[in-house]
Amino acid sequence: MWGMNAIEEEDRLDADAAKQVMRRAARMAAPFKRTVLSAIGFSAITTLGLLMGPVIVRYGIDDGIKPADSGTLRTAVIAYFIVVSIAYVSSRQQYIFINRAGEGFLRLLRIRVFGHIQKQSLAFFDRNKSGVLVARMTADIESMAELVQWGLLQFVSAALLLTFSFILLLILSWQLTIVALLVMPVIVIASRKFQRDSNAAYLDVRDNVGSNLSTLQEGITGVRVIQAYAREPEQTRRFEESNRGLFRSHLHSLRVSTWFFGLVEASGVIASALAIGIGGWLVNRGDVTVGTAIAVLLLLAQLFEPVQQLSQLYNTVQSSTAALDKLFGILDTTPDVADGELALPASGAVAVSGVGFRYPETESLVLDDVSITVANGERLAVVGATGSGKSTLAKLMARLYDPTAGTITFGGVDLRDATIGSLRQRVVVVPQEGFLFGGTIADNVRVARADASDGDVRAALDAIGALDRFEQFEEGIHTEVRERGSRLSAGERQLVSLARAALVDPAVLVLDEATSNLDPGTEVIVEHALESLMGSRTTIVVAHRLSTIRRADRIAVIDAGKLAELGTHDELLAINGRYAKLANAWASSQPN
Amino acid sequence: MTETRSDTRSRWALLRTTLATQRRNLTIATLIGLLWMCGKVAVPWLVGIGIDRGIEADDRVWLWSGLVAAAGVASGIFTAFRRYYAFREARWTETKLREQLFGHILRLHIGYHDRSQTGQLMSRSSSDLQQIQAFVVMIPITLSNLAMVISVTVILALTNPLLTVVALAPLPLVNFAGRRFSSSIHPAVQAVQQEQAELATVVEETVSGVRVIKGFGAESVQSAKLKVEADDIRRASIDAAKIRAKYLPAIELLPQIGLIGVLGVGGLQVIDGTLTLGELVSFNIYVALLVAPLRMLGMTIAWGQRAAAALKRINEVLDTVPLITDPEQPTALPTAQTGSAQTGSPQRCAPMGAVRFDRVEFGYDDDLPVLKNFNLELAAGQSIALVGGTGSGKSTVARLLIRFYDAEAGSITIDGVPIGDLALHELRRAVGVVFEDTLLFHDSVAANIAFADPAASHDAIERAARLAGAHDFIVGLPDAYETELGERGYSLSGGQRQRIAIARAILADPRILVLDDATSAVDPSKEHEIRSAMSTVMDGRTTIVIAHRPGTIALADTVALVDEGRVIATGTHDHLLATDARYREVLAAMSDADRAAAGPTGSGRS
Repeated sequence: MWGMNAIEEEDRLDADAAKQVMRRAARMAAPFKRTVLSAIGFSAITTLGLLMGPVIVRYGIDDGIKPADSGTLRTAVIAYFIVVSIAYVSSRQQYIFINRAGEGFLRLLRIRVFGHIQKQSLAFFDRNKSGVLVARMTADIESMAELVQWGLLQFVSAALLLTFSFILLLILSWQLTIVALLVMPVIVIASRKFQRDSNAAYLDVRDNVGSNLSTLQEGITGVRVIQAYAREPEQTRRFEESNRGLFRSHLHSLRVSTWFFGLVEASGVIASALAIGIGGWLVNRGDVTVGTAIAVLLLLAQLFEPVQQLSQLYNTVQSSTAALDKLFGILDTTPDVADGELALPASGAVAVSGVGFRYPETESLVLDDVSITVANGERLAVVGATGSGKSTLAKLMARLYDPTAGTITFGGVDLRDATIGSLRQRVVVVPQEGFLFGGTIADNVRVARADASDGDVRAALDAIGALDRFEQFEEGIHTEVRERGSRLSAGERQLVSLARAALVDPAVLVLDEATSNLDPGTEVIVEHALESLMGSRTTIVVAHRLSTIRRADRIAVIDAGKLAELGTHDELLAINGRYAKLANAWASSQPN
Repeated sequence: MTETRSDTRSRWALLRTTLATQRRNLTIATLIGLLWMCGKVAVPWLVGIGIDRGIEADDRVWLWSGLVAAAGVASGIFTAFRRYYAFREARWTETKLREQLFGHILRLHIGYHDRSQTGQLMSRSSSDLQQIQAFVVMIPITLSNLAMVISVTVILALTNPLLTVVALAPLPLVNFAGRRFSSSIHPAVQAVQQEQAELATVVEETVSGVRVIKGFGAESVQSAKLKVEADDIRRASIDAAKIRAKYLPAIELLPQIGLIGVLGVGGLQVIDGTLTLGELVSFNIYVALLVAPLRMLGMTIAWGQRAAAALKRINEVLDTVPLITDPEQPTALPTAQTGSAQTGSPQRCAPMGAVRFDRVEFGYDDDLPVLKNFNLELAAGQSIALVGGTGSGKSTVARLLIRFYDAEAGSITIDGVPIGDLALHELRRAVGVVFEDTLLFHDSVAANIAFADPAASHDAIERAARLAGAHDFIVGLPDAYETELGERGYSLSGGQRQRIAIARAILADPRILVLDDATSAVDPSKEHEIRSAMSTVMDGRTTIVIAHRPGTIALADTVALVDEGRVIATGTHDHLLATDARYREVLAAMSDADRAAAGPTGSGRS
């Protein structure tokens, strides 16, 4: 997960794409329009309040101090105080409103993207690494938090400040507005250059951080190999190389950005100097009052800090836009498994006819022209080498994928025409390993049917003979399983997984037999549970154990995507083909 | 981790030692900071004079204007340099400390690594160092800021004490509010992170368990869970926002109170004639000038606290003394030549690599012995398979032989030399271990094979690859021997990785080879290929095979049955099978575990 800091191509968005992303984000934020408008309103009040300071000082000087009128001076002081108090109150409100809108937007984004991810077919999950999907939902969305918390606000208030200041300057003195016009363009051009350079440097730094972290991680996880081969000095050198690379990229980023801060500083003071020079000239010509010149001076002093902050915001905006673009990419992926309209019958045969399958964007066929009919109540074992396609066949039978050729029907209805709801009731896949979610044992069984009562859950556990085992726990079926079910043993996790299937009580069971080892005690219980679950149900089992295969009615041997042999154990031994060879290999690898 | 000591003094000592090497540049940074301070302080003063003489008295207004501009340019230049030096030195501190940490981590004994998590060590070397870096940046900056605060206060106090009190009174409040803000925002931010972690857990389990979810149509259950977490994040974030809303505007606006005071009190003084208008304005600007440094002062304190915590964690690693080290006066292993000279044997190169475990006792935890009175003797060139159930201690044997751990009692010798008397690198070059799980580095295939000897010729690499049965698939890779491997590179199958690991061991050409069953991670259909590679390497070399699969046993000359930390029987496979009931039992259990004859199925795409 450390390697993920490395930049991806998508992080570099061109201006047009960025604009599009922003427009779309704005559309998505439509429900928060009123909240955002309130935030902008309060921000405007705050900004006006801040700008009133110099104006009040001007009034105080021209109408209070100059004519030596202490009453007017007092009025100015009171007015100043009131204005600052108003600015405080509205500034608080702007923070609260912008955060309400922003966090609401992020919440909406989280729920939508997650919902959309869940709508995708399994092929989507094969294509996208789980780490990437998790990163979209976490790091990418979190990267926008900074923008939401203060970035957007800074953006809005800086824009308001610039606009209002300009108007105010024009009102105070159009001649002195020239001061601002002399300095501002320099700052604007400089900040564009700064943005460009520092953004490139920032991407470079991120790249280096990512690869440095990878080298670091490699060193730590590889410490046993490194020590075993006595390569510590070599690896330390290797790390130093990448570490120095990181240092150089930091230094480069520093070099291309530092001058900007000096420039902003100098420009601010030069603006003051111009205000004194031009202001003094105008005052002495009698065009403006001293108060006005001083007000302009103070006003200009307030103008430069926000501009500087704004340019620092650029990187945040950039990475947020990139993150949004990736998230929109997920929202734009149309799920490729569509719901049908028919309800599946209560029972029937599973007929696979002429089925071919290839994973998207790959050349080779995983399955090619496979036809098997599994009669109602029959138990079929599917065997074959790794990569033969046997697991894929099982997945197709539960419509976790759709075949690319041929059809699979249950009771005569094509699985693609059935509603997903009725399909999940009739056909259940039990994966190899018992995968557990956070929550209690009961919660985990209930994954199969959200509305099941505790009684239903107990009945399902009882049906596979596992209830007693879990009721022994202090909190019974309400025991928390902890992360990934670490509280339970591997066998217990499989039991929970089997209980899910029992809760659904399907007509067809598709089993991918576990290859991992259990302690002998649990092994017997799991075997027993499996047996009671299969009972007289139609079962398709991807088998790894000889004992399982021997208990099947028929055996299908899949080889390189084709159905090579099909028949009972004895029939297949008799033809002395692939199955016979496999069976012999088993026999020899078992101890005598 | 009893060997750690980290009191406050030693904690800062680490940073002091590192900074001492940067003394020159840090001094330059501080001097630049002082020049910056002069430029900054001059500006308001010149502005004041500019108003009084230039505007009010109409006396050379352009001169004053020019001087202000010059001071501005100077402070601009020094602003840039101050920033550059501060950040550069901080990055350098970070870089040096990271290298020190990495070197130390690599030297630490494996017992330490077995107990600690990669993630923990990673965050020591990344986020903790960043906290220190952020603090080091503040050191020269804070020094010049402090100098500025002091000199501005002195200048103001000398000009007009009453007005100074009025103007500066709210500033300590800014500092106070800043600290209150830091201490109250911290738990709020942590609460947000906690909620984010909970959401991440839901997403992670959903993505990993997607087959279960799809299989049962349980999408809505997970969506409901996610919604709860998303709501929690929003609530926690808005709580944090409320704290920001309370403090940030206050911090921003408090200085304005000082400005109001200056206008009121200063205005009256101007009317009285005790203050000039220019001085009033320069007071105003001075107050504004102090806001940023005072705000930063609060930040420096917060960063200092965080850096202290980070240093404490880093010291815990650096203070851990590597328990497995070179002996003070290492002995060398006898070489084949001297061996043959002594014995006068007709073979010119007698095989070296006799191994002897004599009454070895060992346990990972004090109260849980793993090896008890463990004896094993292996003549040079002989191979033996260690067979035993899970927890029998058979894998521990390899870890003791290359001193990943030291035995508590008894002795282990190679060619008569106790392994503790050998320099670590010599011992580890003499013993080659092929681990159960293979680690490939982000580097080319060739470099991964030549790990033991980066200077190895291409011919040597290719020979090792051929012997390991890896050459054929390597030439089929996109860039053959130059194909990049590792997390970010080309990914190989389990069997291919194993063969690279075996080639790596062949190239190292050790006297003694330990194969921690290299077939265990491999698809059974590929198992025989690995086995034939293994037997090639074992030929004529002292080899210990730690067998996890029945098929591997046949590779070795003899078998040692390990049970409860002891060798309880030795002999050939057939002999033990015929005479030893316990051997048959262990073998049966192994086969059971191995019954995945048709192979583990992945997604079916491999």
